[in-house]
Amino acid sequence: MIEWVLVAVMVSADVASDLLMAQGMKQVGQTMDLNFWYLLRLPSRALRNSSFLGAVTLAAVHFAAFLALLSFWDLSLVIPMGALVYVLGTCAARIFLGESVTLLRWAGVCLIAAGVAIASTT
Amino acid sequence: MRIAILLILAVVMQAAGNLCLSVGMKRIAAFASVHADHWQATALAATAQPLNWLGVLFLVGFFILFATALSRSDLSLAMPIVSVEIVLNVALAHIILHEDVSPQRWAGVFLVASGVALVSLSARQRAASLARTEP
Repeated sequence: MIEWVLVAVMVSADVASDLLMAQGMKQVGQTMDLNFWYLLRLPSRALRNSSFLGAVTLAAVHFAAFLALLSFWDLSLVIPMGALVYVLGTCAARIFLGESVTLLRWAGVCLIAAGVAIASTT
Repeated sequence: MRIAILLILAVVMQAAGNLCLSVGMKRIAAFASVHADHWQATALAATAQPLNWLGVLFLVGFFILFATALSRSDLSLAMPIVSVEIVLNVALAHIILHEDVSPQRWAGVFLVASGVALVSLSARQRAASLARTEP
């Protein structure tokens, strides 16, 4: 059962890391750019921002859980599990951020959840 | 055109990284089960495994290439890539790692990939509608 705990940790750490990163970047007044070269030039106040540091820590936790999971399960099972971040992320956005979620997005989320359920039965 | 090449390279690096990490961590697995109550020993063994470092190197390369590609295009390109990645990773796991991927698992994988594609489509629609409402 430890494997499912690892899945829960991996997915929730990823979602929480994304949320904190977005929050941290907003607090520092930076746009959320996935530009590596831009990140290298981040002002030091970003690096001292607690949300940003929390996001980095959680990303490390996510990666550690991912590695641990790989020691138990096939890669072909772990990879689809990772897509659960869309399910949790969408629910979290709805519940905690009050975001409106389109029907299309919910449909996607349902497909992902169904796909993970089916893939994990083997 | 350059962006497409960057993305293809990025996708391949990501898959390569995951493959290396999968093999590397499986090698740790036997060690881990013996030392189940001392996770620190397992963590140390994981860092001593060269395949894990190669995998991390590939993933870092993926991140750099991906971020560079995104900086030259737009973020809505990100999620279709994830869809492709999921299928590619599973396919390569079957071909290279000889993992047993049953028809049910394939069905699940394609459902997941389709779901991610729908989510990315909705994100694209949202971005487009936000752009339209901008003054």
